[in-house]
Amino acid sequence: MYGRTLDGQVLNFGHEGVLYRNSFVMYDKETNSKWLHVTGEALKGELKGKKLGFIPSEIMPYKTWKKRHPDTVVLLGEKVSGMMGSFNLKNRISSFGLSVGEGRNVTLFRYSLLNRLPVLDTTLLAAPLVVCFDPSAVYAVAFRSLLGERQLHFAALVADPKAKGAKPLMRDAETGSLWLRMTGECLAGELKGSQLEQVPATAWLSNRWMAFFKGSRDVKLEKL
Amino acid sequence: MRRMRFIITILFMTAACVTGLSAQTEVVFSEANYDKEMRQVMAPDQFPVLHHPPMATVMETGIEIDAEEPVIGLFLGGEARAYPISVMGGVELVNDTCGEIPVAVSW
Repeated sequence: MYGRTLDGQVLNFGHEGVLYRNSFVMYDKETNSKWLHVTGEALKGELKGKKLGFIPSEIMPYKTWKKRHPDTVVLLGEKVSGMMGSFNLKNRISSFGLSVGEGRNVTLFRYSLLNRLPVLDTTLLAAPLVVCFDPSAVYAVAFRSLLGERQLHFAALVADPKAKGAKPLMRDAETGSLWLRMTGECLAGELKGSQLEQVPATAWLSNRWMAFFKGSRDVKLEKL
Repeated sequence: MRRMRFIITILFMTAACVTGLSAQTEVVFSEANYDKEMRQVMAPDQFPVLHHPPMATVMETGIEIDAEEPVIGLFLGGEARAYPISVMGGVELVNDTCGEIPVAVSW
């Protein structure tokens, strides 16, 4: 998702009717430049080389989003079915991944991997980060695993299967503090009240991500 | 010597396949590559795009939304907006505003 303001001008986008690497291309009605909706960059036209500002968003079941944001408004419209429309995330874990980073500097963490390793310490462009997954809600987020200049290493806490609705937790190895896995907030321990910084990331259909980024030297595929 | 080189090559190829790091080439997101690889599948604007579509809380509309329905969630400028994938699958692109910030939502 991207901001539509560029150098003080608000752009309005249309569908170019073009597929590039299996992803659609946008054009802006102001200059007719062609934009990749995947990376938010203009490849052709007057605004070639310009980039839209990345805005983080999340894909998750409606009930999880609604619980977080009770006052949320919802887009109304006609529903479609099939690959690009209605489906249950729990039945499609292997189809999705979290693309962490911005523009071309992205790494895909497949949900099938995160389902096995719901708290994954890793690095992106030499910056330490932790990728977190909630298997029950089927969504992922990524945080910088730095608190000031202190690097933390996290491990998932196994939830009590009897505790219905329990929030996924993790613990840092350095202080043993307890953290909410999906918000990056420290609940208890020496670091109580601390907040991890969220890293730009977007949920993707893995096959579309692969089709788009395949062949780019900036992209690293996580080991599976 | 030749046999040794063959074995090393096989080992390298196997490792590359396991890590999924094979077939990495140069960056190709360029105008020239775009012109070469792009496919015009329909006329511009033939695929529907939404501009500031009506949105409401579920309570306001009385419309039921499946609890498991995946949504693209956006929280910006103190405002939360949800874009059901089942609706986005039919439009792919929305020009919208959230918390007074103009955004492009795509799927």
